[in-house]
Amino acid sequence: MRTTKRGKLAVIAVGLALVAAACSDSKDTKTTAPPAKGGTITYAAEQEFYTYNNGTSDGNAFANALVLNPVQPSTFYFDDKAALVMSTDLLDSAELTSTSPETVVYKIKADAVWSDGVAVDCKDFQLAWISSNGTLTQQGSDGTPVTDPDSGTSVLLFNTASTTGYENIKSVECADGGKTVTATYDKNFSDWNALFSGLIPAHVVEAKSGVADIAKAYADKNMADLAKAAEFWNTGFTADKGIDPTVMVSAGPFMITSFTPGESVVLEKNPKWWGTPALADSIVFRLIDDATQQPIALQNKEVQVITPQPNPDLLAQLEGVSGAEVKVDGGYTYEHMDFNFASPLTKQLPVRQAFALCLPRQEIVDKLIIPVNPSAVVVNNHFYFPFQSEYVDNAGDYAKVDIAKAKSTLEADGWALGSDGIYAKGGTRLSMKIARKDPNPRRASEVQLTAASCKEAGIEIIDQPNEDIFSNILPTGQYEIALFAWVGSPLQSSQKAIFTTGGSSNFGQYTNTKLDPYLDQLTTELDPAKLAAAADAADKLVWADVATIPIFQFPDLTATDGTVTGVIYNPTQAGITWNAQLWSLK
Amino acid sequence: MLRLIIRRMLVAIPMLLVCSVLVFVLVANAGDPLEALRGRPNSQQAIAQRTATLHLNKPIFERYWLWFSKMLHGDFGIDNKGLRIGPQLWRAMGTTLQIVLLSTILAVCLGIAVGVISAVRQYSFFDYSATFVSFLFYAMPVFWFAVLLKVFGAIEFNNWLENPGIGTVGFLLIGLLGAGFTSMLFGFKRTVSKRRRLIAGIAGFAGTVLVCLLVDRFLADRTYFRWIGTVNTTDPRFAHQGFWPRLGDHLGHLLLPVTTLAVISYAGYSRFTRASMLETLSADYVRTARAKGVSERAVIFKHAFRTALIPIVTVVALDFGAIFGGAIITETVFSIQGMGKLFREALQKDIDPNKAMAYLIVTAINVVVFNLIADIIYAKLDPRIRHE
Repeated sequence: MRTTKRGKLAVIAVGLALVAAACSDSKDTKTTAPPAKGGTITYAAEQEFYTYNNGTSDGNAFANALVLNPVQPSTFYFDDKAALVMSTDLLDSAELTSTSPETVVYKIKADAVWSDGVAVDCKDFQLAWISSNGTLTQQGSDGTPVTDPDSGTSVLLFNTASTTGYENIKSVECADGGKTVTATYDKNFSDWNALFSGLIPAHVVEAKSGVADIAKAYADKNMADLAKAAEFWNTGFTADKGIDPTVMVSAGPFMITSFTPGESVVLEKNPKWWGTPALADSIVFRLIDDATQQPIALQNKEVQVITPQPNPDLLAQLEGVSGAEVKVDGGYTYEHMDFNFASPLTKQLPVRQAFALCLPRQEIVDKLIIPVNPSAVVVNNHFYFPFQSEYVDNAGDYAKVDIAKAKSTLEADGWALGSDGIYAKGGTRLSMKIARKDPNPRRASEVQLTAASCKEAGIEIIDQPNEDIFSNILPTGQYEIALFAWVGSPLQSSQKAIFTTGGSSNFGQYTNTKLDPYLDQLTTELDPAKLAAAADAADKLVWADVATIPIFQFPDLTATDGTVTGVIYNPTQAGITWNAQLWSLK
Repeated sequence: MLRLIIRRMLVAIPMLLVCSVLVFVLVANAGDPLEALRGRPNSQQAIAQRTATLHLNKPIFERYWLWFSKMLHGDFGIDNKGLRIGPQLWRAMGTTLQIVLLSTILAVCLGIAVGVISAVRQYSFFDYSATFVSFLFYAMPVFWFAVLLKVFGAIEFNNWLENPGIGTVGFLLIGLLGAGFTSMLFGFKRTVSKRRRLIAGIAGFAGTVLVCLLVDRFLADRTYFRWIGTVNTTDPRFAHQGFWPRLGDHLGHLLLPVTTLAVISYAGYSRFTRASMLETLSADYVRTARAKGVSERAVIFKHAFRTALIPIVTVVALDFGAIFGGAIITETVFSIQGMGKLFREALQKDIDPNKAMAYLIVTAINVVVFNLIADIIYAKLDPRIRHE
């Protein structure tokens, strides 16, 4: 009996202690608190950083670019208006000294050094060119090139993400102790100022692969050495090996100091940085891959900057976060309708014209995009976007819905309105399928709005949803119109693949022999004014052919918790960290 | 016993082999690992490169053999990003193990305790409330519960930590909790009079309020760090600090995901324990024990509870193996890189065959192992099994 009572007392004591503990949960957190103001700004990354070499085919990812922006040196960078601006931190000058052959002379700042003390010099430019010019291919043990049996394509020695531009360069010469670089092209490349960005340290590749001089190995065609260098370039920079300060060196305001897989990357000030110091002490990337959880993390003050894909729910969620500053802009990714020129219906110009006249682009923007981005507009140019100075509205008659004109266009071409309210010609009804990705509620609504509007013009629109239109629909040609988005680019050289005859991204097999020379000019023109003129001429031709119809830019969201300044949206592939050195706590 | 274990293990090996072949063939046909490379600037070269890395041009059984022989040496190959899979797999297993282990312990302790009390005091107020709560937990969508936890358990609680204090309402609520707790403890036996329960309750209230007063004094004019995390398992700002601060930070991040998982399993375990316990309590041997004059405590714990535990242990062991495969939703909501996320990544966009295989084979081994463990425990607890 006595023991029982004592037992009960003990239990009560424990119970009280538990309640007391519940009241004072935080007893030991006092000692664990980090310094209240250390100038750390945390960004919620949607995908994980995984390699320092963003130039490899495997490593080419936005997540890596975001971390590397303030770490690796670039000759030019994209500003918030998508213009390429020379980095005055890295270069004294970058001059196009000759247009035939195209020659660019870069003068690197004398005090530009990597964080391990080695100078940033011509060798780094040479490595960029050697690794991405596409001339070196893998060789098997018997010395023959390794090829893919299906396509017969040789496997490149350097597993580069893109050879664009670099393949046009004939030579990269060094002078002035490596501080002057001369790149000579054998075929002009209009977007030369987009090259030599995100430079990889050549001295690291040399040291780690045991190659004495990579440029010499290239000049001598020393394949054994090049293979060793390529091996390291391809695989040596991945983050799964941890952060080796002798490998992931920095020549920017910040350097990578720690990486916790699945969790975070920490950038801290680069002590060897020669330019204007960054305002924050540290930028942290925390992996939050579920976008709907980012506003909660913002509210819990775990992160200060988020850039999730916006939708009305997310915006409502952010409205509930006190102090949050939210901004939505239109980016480079744009929605568009693409015609199939192999289809008997859409290969006829009047049909495409009539469709363009009944396609309710303004209504789509008003009903589906304005709720997310109040400043959204209809895009009326295929080559430039409304935020660019070169943007011109070339839509002409197609700028607005005109049902009467759509009908008259069809009637002039011999189409007659059938008893079902749909036009027909020679026994063929004007019924077209719009292929789109499924599930995608927004695109389903776009097709619905289009079908309703075009029905008035006597055109029947049938929704053709498919989980993967690029694999299942576009290659088969069994569609009239494809609704999808292009990830656009400020680089005009990238437009050719979409519009040129037989272009790799020209799914609808559009062809116009008058257009092709302009597209060629977009890849080679060195005079910015002439380039813009060529793009404008090309755009007018594409509109006249009604080959594809742009609709709207995808909205991009930038939100901060209100405690930071200097976070400015950038529509290009540079992403939000393009000016990370200017981020600061209020 | 040893023979049983050996026999079971010998059966497991061919089972795993067949399983690995089957899964390999399924994964090989599940999707196009080159999908993301199509339409890129240098797609031809990139496709050639990946085809060579993944041996896609070789027949499937040769590929299986290449994969299998490497896997036997612990090499799971590289994924589509060019990263080694082994370290990712071990890390994901470690993370998931922490969460699953903690949540299972929590759920089992709570579930069994509540289940036993519910059964012993069947149709009491406690039983009804426990039933209500477990069905509520059972019915709640995980992501919704997780978000609720984040809002109240993290954001609001952290706001409170920044400016802590108990407040009048807090005193009252905590006091009432204390009162309920003590009166329940004292009055657990049905013979205890109402007056005594009331006195115990008042004493509990007074004691708790007194403690809280002291705590409130202590908290006044202090401010604390926002301890509870809603994402990841660590805060990088603690990376350079000592062991204890890092452990504290880690626990602050594990709290919510562990609670989320525990709550779901708890609901099941408590119902299961209650049913099992009710069954044994009405068994003949329990009645015999009571008739012999064995004390109620001994009847419940020595006679009924031990027997009731047998099926529960088996369920827990099997469950553990299953959740270890990853709690995809919980891991996603809390941005935790565990097994579930690994699997999701392997299937997202273009299929990552090596990654998917690594996950599937580990999960298969896991299920087999925990089935074995369940069998062994079952045999250990129930003497009838061994003799058959």
